[in-house]
Amino acid sequence: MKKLGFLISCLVLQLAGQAQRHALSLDAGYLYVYSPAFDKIIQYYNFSRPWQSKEQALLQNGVRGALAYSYQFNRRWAGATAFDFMYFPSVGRNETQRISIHPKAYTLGLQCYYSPFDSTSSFKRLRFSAGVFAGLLSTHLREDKAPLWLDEDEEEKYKSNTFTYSFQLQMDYRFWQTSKHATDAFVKFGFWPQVEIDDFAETFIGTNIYNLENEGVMWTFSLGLRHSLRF
Amino acid sequence: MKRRDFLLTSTALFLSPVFLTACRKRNLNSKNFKSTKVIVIGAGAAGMYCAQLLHKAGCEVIILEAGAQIGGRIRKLEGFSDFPIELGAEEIHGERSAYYNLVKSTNTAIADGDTKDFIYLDNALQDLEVVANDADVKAAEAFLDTLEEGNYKGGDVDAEGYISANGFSTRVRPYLNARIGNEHGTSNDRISLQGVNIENELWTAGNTNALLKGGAHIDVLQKACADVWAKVQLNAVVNQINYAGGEVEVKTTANQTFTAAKVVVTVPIPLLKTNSLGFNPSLPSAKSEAIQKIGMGAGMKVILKFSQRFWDASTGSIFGTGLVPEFWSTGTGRSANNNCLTAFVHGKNAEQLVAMGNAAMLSKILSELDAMFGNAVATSSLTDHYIMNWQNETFVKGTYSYPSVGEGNAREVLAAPLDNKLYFAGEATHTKGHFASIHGAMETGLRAVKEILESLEK
Ligand SMILES: Cc1cc2nc3c(=O)[nH]c(=O)nc-3n(C[C@H](O)[C@H](O)[C@H](O)COP(=O)(O)OP(=O)(O)OC[C@H]3O[C@@H](n4cnc5c(N)ncnc54)[C@H](O)[C@@H]3O)c2cc1C
Repeated sequence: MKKLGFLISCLVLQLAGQAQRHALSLDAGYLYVYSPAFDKIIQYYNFSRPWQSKEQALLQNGVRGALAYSYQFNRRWAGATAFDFMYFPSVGRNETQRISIHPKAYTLGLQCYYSPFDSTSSFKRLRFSAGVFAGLLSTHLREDKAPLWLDEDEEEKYKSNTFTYSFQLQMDYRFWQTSKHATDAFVKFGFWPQVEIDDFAETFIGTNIYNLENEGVMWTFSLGLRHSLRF
Repeated sequence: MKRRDFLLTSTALFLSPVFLTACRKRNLNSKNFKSTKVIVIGAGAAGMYCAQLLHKAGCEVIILEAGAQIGGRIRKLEGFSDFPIELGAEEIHGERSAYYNLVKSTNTAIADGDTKDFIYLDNALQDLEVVANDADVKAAEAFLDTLEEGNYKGGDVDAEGYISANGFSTRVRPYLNARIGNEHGTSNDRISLQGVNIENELWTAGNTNALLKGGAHIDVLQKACADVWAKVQLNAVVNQINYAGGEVEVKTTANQTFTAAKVVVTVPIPLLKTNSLGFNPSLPSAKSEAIQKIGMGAGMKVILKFSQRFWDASTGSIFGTGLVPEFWSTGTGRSANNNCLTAFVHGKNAEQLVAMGNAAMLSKILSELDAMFGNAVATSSLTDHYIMNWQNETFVKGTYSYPSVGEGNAREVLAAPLDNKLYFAGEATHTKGHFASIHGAMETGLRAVKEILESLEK
C-alpha cells in the first residue's frame, strides 16, 4: 500500500512537472446521496416508531466541496489531485427528542480531464473527467434530550470512522473565463462500492434483531460551481 | 449546444434531486396490505406493538387476549400508594430502544437514578460501596463485571455449581444469587452462565436503568398502540390453531372461530411448553424441543407498605441472605412519601415461599426484614401488602424467560416462522439478548411484522 502511494505520488509529480499550465480550484455544490443499506436502517427506525410526529430524514441531501490542484498537459488532457469533502446529515426533530446523524466523507483522489470538442464546436465549453478517490467516512450520531430526562442535554451517542473509496464521473461546463480565472458548472456522479457506518443499525435502532446491514454501496450525484485560479 | 437546450438540460439536472427525493420513502409503509388479515394472539407488549404496526401497514388485525386485561406482564396496581405500583415490568433497561424513545415521546418523567444499594453481610446491613474493598465482595463484583462485559469463559454450566467450584465465599453467595439468577428470572442453580454472558455480549440497548415517575408502563404502551387498543378481544382463550390449510383457523375455548392468512403467536413460553394453543398439525419436533429448552418459572413481587420508612431515603436495593434475595425501595425517586418495599423473588426461593402459603410467606419475608433492621420494625409497621405471584397467572405462568443450561440456539429455532403462516414473537423469542424486557418483547413484535410484510411483498 505504501509502495503504491509512493508510486502514485511520483507519477503525479512527474505529470505536474510536464504540465503547460496549472490551476487551483475550489468546488462547492449540492449533494444527493443514495445508499439502499442506510435507507433501510432509517426506514426501519421510522417504521418502529410510529408515534413520532416527525420522521427521521433519509441520508440523502447534503453539501459537497473540493479543493483541487490541476495541471493542463495539452488542449485536450488535464489531470488533478483533489481533496473532496461531503456532508449529508439527517435530522429527526421531535418535540421531546432530536436525533441527528452526521456523516462526513473526506477523500483524496486523482482525476483525469478530457476535452473532446474542438474550439469551433458548439460544445467546446464541455469537459469530462473520471477520478478515483479514497479516504474516511466519519459519522457522528447526536441526540438532544428533553430537559426532564436525566441525561446530558446533548449526548454524542457514537462515532464511527471507516475507510471508503469511490469512482467519480464528472461533466463541466465552462461559462466564464479570463486568462487568470475560470468558472465552471459541474455535474458529478459517484459510485462508492463500500460504505460502512460501524454498528449503525444497532446503535440507531437500538437492536440488532433485524439483521440489517451496516454497510453497502452508495451513489452520489452533485451539482455545483467551480472557480479556478490559473497560473 | 443551443442556449435553449442548455437551459433545458440544466433545469432538468437541477430538478432531478427534487424528483429523486420525492420518490424515496422514509418509511417501510410503502404499500398498503389492506386485504391481509392477521390474527395476533396475546395482548402483551409484543402483541400490541405488532398489531399497531400491522395496522399502520394497512393489514386487518384481530387481537385475541386470554386474560381480562391488556398488557400481559405489564400491569399496574393503583390505589396502593400515591404512585402506580408496577406489578410486572418496572425498569426501562437501556436508553437505546424504541421503547425508550416511546417513553420520551409521551413525555413521561423518569425517576432520578441516584440510589444506594445495601448488602446484609456478617449480620449487619452495609452500604455496598462502603464494603467494596472487602475481599469477598470484591471477588463477587469482579465476577459480575466479567459477566457484564461478556468475558466469562467457563462454559455452559449453572451459576451455583460454578460459584461453589470456584471458591466464592458463602458470605457473598446470596448476593451473587440476587445479581445473577434472581435478576434473570430464576435462581443460580438453574441459570446458565454462558447464556447470561451471551446475553450481555449481544446487548445493544445501553446500560441506563430508569424508572417511570410520571406514569405507568401500561399507559405508555396504550399511547403507542392507541389505534388497536379497542380492537382487543379480551377473555378470548385460544386453544386450537389449525394451520394445515390455505388459511389459518384459530379457535377459542368459547367456540369462536377466526380465520386469517397469518397468525402471530406471542404467548409466554410456559404456555407453549404445555401446548395450550393446540397446534394442528403439531409443531415440528425441532421447535417443540427448542421450546422445552427455554427456561421460565416461579417468580413474584410482594409489595409491602409500612407506616414508617425505616430504611435510608436513598435506598435502591437491599440484598438479603434469606429467601428474598433482593428488596427494593419501591418509590425511591417516584414519591416523597415512599413507605413501600418490594420483595423480588425467583426460582427455588420463590417456590419455597409459595409452598408455605400466603400468611406464612408474609411472616417469613417480614422476619427477614426484621433481622436486617432490628426491633421487629417491619412486622410491627406493616400496614398493607400485595402478593403478585406470576406463576399463578393462568396465561403467563412465570415471570420472564431466562437462559438455561443447554439452551443453545433454541430461541432462533422457536422464532423462525412456519409455512409463511405462523409467526412467533414475545420476549422469549428474542434472539439477540434482549429477552425478558419490554423493549425486547416489542422488538420481536416488529420482527414478526417485518417477516409478514416481506412474505407479502414476494
Ligand atoms: C415481575 C416481572 C418483572 C419484570 N421486570 C422488568 C423490568 O424491570 N424491565 C423490563 O423491561 N421488563 C421486565 N419484565 C419483563 C417484561 O414484562 C416482559 O418481557 C414483557 O412484558 C413480555 O411481553 P410479551 O408480549 O412477550 O408477553 P406477555 O406480556 O406475557 O403477553 C402475552 C399475552 O398472551 C396472553 N395469552 C396467553 N395464552 C393465551 C391464549 N391461549 N390465548 C390468548 N392469549 C393468551 C397472555 O394473557 C398475555 O397477555 C418483568 C416481568 C415480570 C413478570
